[in-house]
Amino acid sequence: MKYNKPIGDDYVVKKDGRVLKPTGPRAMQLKAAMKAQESETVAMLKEQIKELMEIVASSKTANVVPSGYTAEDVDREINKAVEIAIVETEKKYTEKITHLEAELARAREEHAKYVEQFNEKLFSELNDRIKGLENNVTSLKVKVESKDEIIETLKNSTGNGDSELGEVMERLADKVDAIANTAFEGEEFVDDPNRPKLETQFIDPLSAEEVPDFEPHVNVDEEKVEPQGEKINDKVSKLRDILGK
Amino acid sequence: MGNKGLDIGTNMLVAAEVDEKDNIVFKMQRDAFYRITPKSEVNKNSIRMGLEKRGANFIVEGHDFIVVGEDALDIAIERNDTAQRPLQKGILSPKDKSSLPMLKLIIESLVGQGSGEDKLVYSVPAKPIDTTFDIVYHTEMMGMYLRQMGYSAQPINEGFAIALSELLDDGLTGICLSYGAGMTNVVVIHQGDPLVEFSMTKSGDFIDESVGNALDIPPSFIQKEKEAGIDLNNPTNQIMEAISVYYSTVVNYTFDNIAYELKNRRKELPIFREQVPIVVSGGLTLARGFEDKVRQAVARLEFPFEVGEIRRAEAPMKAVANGCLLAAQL
Repeated sequence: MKYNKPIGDDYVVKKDGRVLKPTGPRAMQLKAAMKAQESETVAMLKEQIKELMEIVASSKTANVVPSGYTAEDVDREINKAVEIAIVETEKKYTEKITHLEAELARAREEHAKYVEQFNEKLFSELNDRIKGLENNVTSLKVKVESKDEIIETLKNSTGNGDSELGEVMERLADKVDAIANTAFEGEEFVDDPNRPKLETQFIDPLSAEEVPDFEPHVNVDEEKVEPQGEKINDKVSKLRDILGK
Repeated sequence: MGNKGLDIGTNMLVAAEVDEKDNIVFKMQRDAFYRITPKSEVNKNSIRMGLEKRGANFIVEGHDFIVVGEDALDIAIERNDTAQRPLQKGILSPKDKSSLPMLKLIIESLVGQGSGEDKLVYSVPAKPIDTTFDIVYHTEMMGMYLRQMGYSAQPINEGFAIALSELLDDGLTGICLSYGAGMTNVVVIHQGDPLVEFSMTKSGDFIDESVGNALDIPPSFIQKEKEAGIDLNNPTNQIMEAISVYYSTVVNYTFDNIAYELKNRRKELPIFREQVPIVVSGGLTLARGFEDKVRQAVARLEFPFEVGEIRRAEAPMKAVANGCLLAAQL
C-alpha cells in the first residue's frame, strides 16, 4: 500500500481533517539521505570561502580596493570635498556677514538721519516758542509802556460820552443826580420801609361854592349780557384759585 | 345795589354790575359834553325842544344847556365845533376843573348812589413811559369822588382788568393791551403776577389828530369816520388810507416798547413754558384787520417767549369794566 506522504516537515491535511506527518521509516530514511547531501554542499561552500579569503588576503597585501580606488585616493577625495565644503560654507557665511554689516550700516545711517531730523524739529519748535514768548513779552512791555496813554484815552472817551463806558457813566451820573435831586426837592426818600411816611393829601379843586346847580336830564340805557358758558361766580372762583385768594 | 366795576376811559365810561339773575348789566356813556348857550329865550325853548326830540342827554345849568354823551359829539360836529372831554390823555387834569362836575354827573348817571359799603373797582392807567404826568392825582381824585357817591372804591390797572376778563382760561398768563382814545395800556402777566405794566399816550386821539393835521380835517370828524367802521387791510378812500397808516404806527410803537421793556427786564422774567397769548381790547381794536396789524408788528420782533394766539377781547368796549367787576367780586 502506498501512502501519499510529503517529504520533510511538510504535512498534509486530509479531507476528513486528519493531519498526516512524514514520521514513518521511509520518511526517516529520506531525511537521512537528504542530510548527507547537505553536508557535501557545506563542505563545498567552505572550500569556496577559503579560496575567497585567500583572494582577499592577497588583495590587502597589493593595497588595491576592489573598485579601483586606493585608501589615499579616498582620503584625498574626502579631504578635497571637505575643503570645498569649508570654502563654500565660509563664502556663504562671509556673504551673509557682509550683507548684515551693510544692513547695520544702513540702519545706523538712517538712525543718525532721524536723530538729526528730530533734533532739527525740536530745535525749530523750541525756537518758535521762544520767539513767541519773546513777542508776548515785547507786546506786554509795549502795553505797559503805553498804559498811561490808554488810561488817558479812556478818560477822554468817558468825558466825551463817545464810548459805551462813557454812556454807562453818564447813566450812572444821571441816576445819582436824580436821587440827589429827589432828596434836595424834599420828596419822600425811602431808605427804611418801616419808617413813618408822609401822608399824601389830595384836595378837591372844586370848592362847595363852585358846585354848579345842575338840572340833569340824563338817562343811560342798560345792556344786559346773559352769561355765555361760565357764570360770573364760576369765573370768580377760578380767579381766586389762580390768585390764591 | 351790589359790587360794581367801572372803566373810566378818555372817550367812554362803562359801568358793570350783576343783576339778581346773574346777568352782567353794562351801562355805557360817551365821556364828552358840549355846552350850548342860547341867544334868546325863544332860542332856549327851541334848543330844549330839539334836544328832547332827538332823545339827547343834557343838563340845564342856569341859562345854558350842556349836552352829554354821544349827542355831544354829534351836535359839536353839526356845529363845526369840537366837544369837550373831562379827561385828557386818560387822566383828570387839575387845570381843567370846570369839567369835573360834568364828569361826576356822568359817572353818577352810570353807577348811581352806593350804600356806603358797596365795593366799586375802577380802572386807572399805568405809569406812562412817554410823558411825565402823574397818575397818582387822577387815581386819588377819582377814588374821592366815588367815595362821595357812597362806594368803597379801589383802583385797578386797566391792563390787569383786561387780563382778569380775558385770560382766565390761560391761567392769567399773556399780554393784554387796551387801545383807548387817550392812552394805550399794556400789561405782561404771568400766572396772575403782572411783570410789566406801562401806558403810552399814543392811541386813538393821536390817530385822529395826526390824520386831521395831515388832511386838514377836524379830529372829531376823523373819530366819527373811524368809528363808523373801517377795514384796515382795504382802505376805500384817502382818509381811510391815512387812518390805516397811523394805526400801523401806533401798533408798531406799542410792540416796540413791549419788546424793549421785556429786554430790559429779561433777568427778572420767569420762564414761560407755554405760548403766550396776546389779547387786544378797546375802541381802536374794533377796526377790521386790527389783529393783522398786531401780527405784522409781532413778526418783526423778538420776545423772550413764544407768542401764541393773537386775539381780540370778546367784547372790546366792555372788557375793562368786566375785569373791574370780577375784581370787585373777589
